[in-house]
Amino acid sequence: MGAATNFTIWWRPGAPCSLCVEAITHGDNFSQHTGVRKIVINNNKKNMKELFINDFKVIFPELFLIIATIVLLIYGVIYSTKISENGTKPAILIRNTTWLGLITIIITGLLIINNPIKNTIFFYNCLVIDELSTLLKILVLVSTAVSIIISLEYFKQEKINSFEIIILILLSCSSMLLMLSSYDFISMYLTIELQSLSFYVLAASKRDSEFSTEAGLKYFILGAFSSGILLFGCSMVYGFTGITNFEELAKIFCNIECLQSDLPVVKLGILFLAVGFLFKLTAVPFHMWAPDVYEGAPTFITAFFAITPKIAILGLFLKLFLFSFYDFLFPWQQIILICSVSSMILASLAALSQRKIKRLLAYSSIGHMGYILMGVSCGSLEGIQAVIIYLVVYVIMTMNVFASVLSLRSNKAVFITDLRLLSKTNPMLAINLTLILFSMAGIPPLAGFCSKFYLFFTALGSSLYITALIGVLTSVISCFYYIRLVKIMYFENDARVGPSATRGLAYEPMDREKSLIIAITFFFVLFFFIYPYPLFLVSHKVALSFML
Amino acid sequence: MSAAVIGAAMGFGIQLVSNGLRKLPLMRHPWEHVIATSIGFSAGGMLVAWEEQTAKELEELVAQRESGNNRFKSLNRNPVD
Repeated sequence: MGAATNFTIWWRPGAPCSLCVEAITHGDNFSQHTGVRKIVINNNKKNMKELFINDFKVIFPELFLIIATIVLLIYGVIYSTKISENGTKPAILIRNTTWLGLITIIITGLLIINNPIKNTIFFYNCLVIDELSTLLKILVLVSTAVSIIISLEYFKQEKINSFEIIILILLSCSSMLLMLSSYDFISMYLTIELQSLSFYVLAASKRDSEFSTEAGLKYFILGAFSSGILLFGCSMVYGFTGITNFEELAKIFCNIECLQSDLPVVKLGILFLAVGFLFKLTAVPFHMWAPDVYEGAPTFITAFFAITPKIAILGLFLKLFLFSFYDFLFPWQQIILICSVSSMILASLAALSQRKIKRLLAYSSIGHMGYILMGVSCGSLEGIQAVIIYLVVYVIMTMNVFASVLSLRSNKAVFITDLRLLSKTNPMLAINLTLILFSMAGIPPLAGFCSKFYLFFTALGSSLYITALIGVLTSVISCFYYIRLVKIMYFENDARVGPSATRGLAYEPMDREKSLIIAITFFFVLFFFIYPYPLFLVSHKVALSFML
Repeated sequence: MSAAVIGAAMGFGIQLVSNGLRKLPLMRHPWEHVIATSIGFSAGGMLVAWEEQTAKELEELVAQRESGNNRFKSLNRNPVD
C-alpha cells in the first residue's frame, strides 16, 4: 500500500486512534486501524484523504475562528472605507465587530466542548489535543470573551472606532488555541510569534497616546529579544537530538542511559527555553517590561494581557517541561524555583511603593506568577492540579478587578488614591473590590485562600519547605498593599488628598455587561470554599490524564 | 434538585448584585431576575450531570494508573535480565 501503510502511529497512552475509536499501541500502522470508517487499505490516495479530513475535523474550532476573523476583517475593510453617495463619513463598525467577535468566540467554545475527538495527535505529530489543552482552551476563550465584553463601554467613552483591535484580539486568541495544541518546536514557535506580533500592535493601539506607543515599542523590542532566546534554545536542543517533536524528545531523554551532566548542550538549550518562557510569563528577573507595558496600554488591553496569554504560555510550558524535559527535572526545577521565589519577593516589595492602579496590578500579576511557578516546580501530579486550580482562580479574580477598574474609567481613576470615596459613591462596588482584594491576598475563606492553601500544601508534599515558607511570608507582605486599597476606599474620604486632589470620585453608571461579569466572578470568589469539588474534580482529571 | 435550587438562588443573587452595582432598584425589571434564576436553575442541573460524568471518567483514569503502577512494581520485582 505504500508510504501510508508504513507510517507509524505514535503511541499515546489512553489515546484512541485518529482513524478509528480503538486504542493504539506503538508501532501500529494504518492497516490495523481501519475501524468504523472502513478505509480501503489498498487505495493510497483515499487513505491520505481520510487522514486529511480527519485532521481538519479535529482542528475545526481553530479553523472556524481563523476563517471568521478573516471574514470580519474583510467586512471591516469594505465598510470602513465605503463612503456613501451623499458624502457621509464611513460607518462606525467597532460595536458590530465587537459583538460579532464575541459570537465567534462563543461558537468556537461550543465547538471545542463538543469536539468528539478528545485525545489525539494530528497534522503529522505537529499538533495534539488532550484534556489539558481542551480545558485551557476553554479558559482562554472565556477570558478573551470577558476582555471583549469589558471593552464595549471603553470604546464608546474613548470614541475608538478601530475595528482592527477586535480582529487582532481574535487573531491572538486563535494563535493561543493553536499554541495550546502545539506538539513540536516549529508549531510552538510559530504560534508564539503570531500571538506576540498581535500583542505588539495591540499594546500600541491607542495611536494618539505617547504612553501606548512607548508600551508597544518596549514590548516589541523585549519580546523580539525573548523570542530570539527561545529560538536559540530550540536550535540547541534540535542540534543535539535532531528532533523537534515533544514526544520523541521525551522518548529519547527517557532512554539515554547516561548522567544528565553528560548533556550540557541540552541543559543549556533547556535554560534558554526556560528564559524565553519566563519572559512571556513575566517572572522575575524577566519582568521589567510588564509594569511599563501594562501601564501604557489601554486598560482593556492590559486586562487581556494580564489574563489570557498567561494561560496559553503556561499550558505550553507545562507540556514542554513536564513532558518532554521531565528527565531533566532537577536542573530546570532549580531555575524555576529561583524565578518563583524572586517573583514572590520582588512583586510583594515593589507593589508596596506603587501609586498607580495598573502598575500595582502588574506587580500583583508578577507575584501570582511566582506562586504558579512554585506549583510547576513541584513536578508532580498534585503540582499540576494546584497550578490549574490557582490559574482558574487567578483568572477569575483578575477579570473582576479589571472590570471594576474599567467601570471607574469615566472618572479617570489612575492613582490608587483616586479610589477614595468609592465606599460612598458606589458601596456595592467597594464591597466587591474589598472581597476580591482580600481573596488576592489569600485571606480565608475566599477562593484565593483555597488555591494558595492547596498550592502550599503541594509544595510541602514535594519537600519545597523553604519555598512554601517564603510563599506564606510574601502573602503576608502582599496583604499590606491590598488592604491599603481597602483603607483608601473606606477611610480616606478627604477629597483633597492625593495627586489628583481637585477631583472627587463621582458616581458614573456602569453598563450591564460589566456589572454581570463583576457579579458572577464575585459570587465565584465568595462561595468557592463552600463547594470547590467541581474545580478539584476537573483539575484532578486533567492532571492525571496529562501524567499518565 | 438541591443543586438546581442553589443554582437558581445564585442566579437571582447575581441579578441583585448586578443591579446593586449599577445603583438601580434591586428588583428593577423583574423578568431579568426570572431569566437569571432560570439560567442558574438549569446550570445547577447541568453541573450535577457533568460532575457525575467527570467522576466516572476520573475513576477510569485512577484505575488505569493503579494498573500501570502495579505492572511497574511487578516488573521491578522480577527484573528481566
